[in-house]
Amino acid sequence: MAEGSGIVVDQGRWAWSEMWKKEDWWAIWIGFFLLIAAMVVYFPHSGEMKEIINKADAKYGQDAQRTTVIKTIAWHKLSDAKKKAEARKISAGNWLSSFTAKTHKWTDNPLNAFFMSKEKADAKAEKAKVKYAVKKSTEDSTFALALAAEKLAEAAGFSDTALNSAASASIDKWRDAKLAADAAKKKTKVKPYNQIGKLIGLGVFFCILFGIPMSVMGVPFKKFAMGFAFVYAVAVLAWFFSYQSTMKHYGIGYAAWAIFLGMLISNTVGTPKWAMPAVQTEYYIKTGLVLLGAKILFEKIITIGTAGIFVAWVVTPTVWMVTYWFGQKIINMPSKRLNAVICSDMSVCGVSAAIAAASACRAKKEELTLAVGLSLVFTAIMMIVMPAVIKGTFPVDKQMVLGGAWMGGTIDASGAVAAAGAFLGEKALYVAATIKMIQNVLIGVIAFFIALYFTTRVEVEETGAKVGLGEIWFRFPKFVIGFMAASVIFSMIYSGFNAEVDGLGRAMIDKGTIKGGSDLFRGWFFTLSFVSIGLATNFRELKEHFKGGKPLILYAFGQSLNLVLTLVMAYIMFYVIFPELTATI
Amino acid sequence: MSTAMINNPRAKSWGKLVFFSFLIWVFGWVVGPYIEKNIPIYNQITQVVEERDIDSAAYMYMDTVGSYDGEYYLTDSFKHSNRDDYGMTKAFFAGIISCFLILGFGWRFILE
Repeated sequence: MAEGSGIVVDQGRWAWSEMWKKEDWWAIWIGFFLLIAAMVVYFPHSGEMKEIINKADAKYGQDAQRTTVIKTIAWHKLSDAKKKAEARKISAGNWLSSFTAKTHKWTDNPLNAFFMSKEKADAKAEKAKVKYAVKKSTEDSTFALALAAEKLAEAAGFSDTALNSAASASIDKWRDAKLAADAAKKKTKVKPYNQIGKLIGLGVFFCILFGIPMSVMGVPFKKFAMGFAFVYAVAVLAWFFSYQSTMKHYGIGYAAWAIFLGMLISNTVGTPKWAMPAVQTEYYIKTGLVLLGAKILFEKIITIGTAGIFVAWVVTPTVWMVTYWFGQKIINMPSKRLNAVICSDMSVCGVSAAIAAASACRAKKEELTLAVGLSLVFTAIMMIVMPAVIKGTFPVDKQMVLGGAWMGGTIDASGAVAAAGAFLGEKALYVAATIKMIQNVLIGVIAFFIALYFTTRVEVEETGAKVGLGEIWFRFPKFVIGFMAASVIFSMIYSGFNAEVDGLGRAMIDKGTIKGGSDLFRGWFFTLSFVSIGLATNFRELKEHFKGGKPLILYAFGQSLNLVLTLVMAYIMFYVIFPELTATI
Repeated sequence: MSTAMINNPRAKSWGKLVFFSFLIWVFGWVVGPYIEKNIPIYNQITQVVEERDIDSAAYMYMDTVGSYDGEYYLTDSFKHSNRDDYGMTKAFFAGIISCFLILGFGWRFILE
């Protein structure tokens, strides 16, 4: 993002020394260092994962293939058994996960965020066991009913529609009960913890990881380390607040807290001068984005078929373009960058898209803050209102798929999409979360598009000079290349694993290198960047960007259009063009 | 607020910090829980979030349980149905191409 009040436009020529003197390149080096390290940890365990998948196939595969008319109990059991293949569950993965853990969930006692004694953990586990027993008994009784209904349908050769529907409905009820029982079971495994030592250790690791490159870029390590201790402490505080149960219910996550706490400090007692060498928004954000690239796996866009691709990949760019046009031509948004960032977070996927877009177009930190703020407010409202509207107005048979697709395509944040979807039911949760996932994949395309647009057109207009290919390369935000490269490389590895054994990609990449590696660090890096944004943001400057309420009008217009187009497209695709495919969900 | 405090910018700054911290407490422990308890729809969503252990503040799909399970469920459902209108079909590619055509159209006519 540009520093100060104006837009910083680099003038000059490409030099190889940029590769160790600029944070764009260091973001790539650090990002790939962590990704390669995760691969080294997990890839040697592919044989074990293959064995789990093959065993599941051997145990349930044949039984699951008895019919394609309904999803039988065996089909679900096969799916459950395959899901157990997770590379991150190896001992090194467990250690890594524990070492990089944030603070813990708490309600009234703040100490629970950092520390829990054995006695307290045991008491909690005992309490959870009582709840689990109730859920388990419901699961068992619904399973018995599902089994009986399936037997009846099977006795009729799965050719009686009424019996098939009854079996499907019973199996669905069992699945809902099983989901609740599984979640309850997790809570019975509460273990004592003391996160303080690990948080200090992690802070030291991050300080070295970012501090050494900073010293290469010209900032003395000692100065950086002093400032970093402060920035990291505020980041821990942001996680601490975001894990308070009420905040979790409202979806007020680490990004909101990091910006808020940073701004609270900078606009009251002021950011200490000695902390400023570590207030490096772009450095942390770009490193996080390179890690994010690794999880943008192209094969995932096929998950929900053609209907999903039209809902997520046709509506989204349409809404982006029309909203951008509205911002420029109708309400005359003074900043093209703010316009682009709001369009991205509103149409693609909220905070993560805002971060990528802001970095790609070099938006000001206040512009990113404003866009993120708008997204968080609308997300909190939509998370509550949309499921209520769907439940109250949609025909019952369309609530799950149509409602799920509608919420997945419009609510910004993935967590809020999951919460709203789960409120309607398991299928709605799955459809909503999957549509959101496909939209997430679009971040890479949109970020590249925005970077190209701002480099070749907007900055040219601002400087008044025509640029050649060399100048475009010089100005182009290089981390976008790292982001795209990570996406392409990991998409290829993911597909390669899946080609070897179906499901191996999920076990090794999704639930291995990414979930057990890059994801553990990405959240921290984004938190550090949001803290930096807050610590360097002046509330008065932020107010300036909000003048006339134009950002709010832009967001409201775009989201309204998004709501209408997504609903229409989802209805046409799922119920007019592909109704039979929809029936198999 | 005492006159001495008003005249002392340092004390005023710390006062503001304490005041906003107090507001956080009011929201987290008084207003927030009150809304949760008294608005039925919010109460139900809260229960779902707790019961399923959903991180409703997650920003990326990988951070939510539903995304993984949904992906497994849907992919396996479609594969299980053996339908030929699922997969890398012409219609599917038409969707992807449409996305790039929209971006191209926008590049030519909107992003002037």
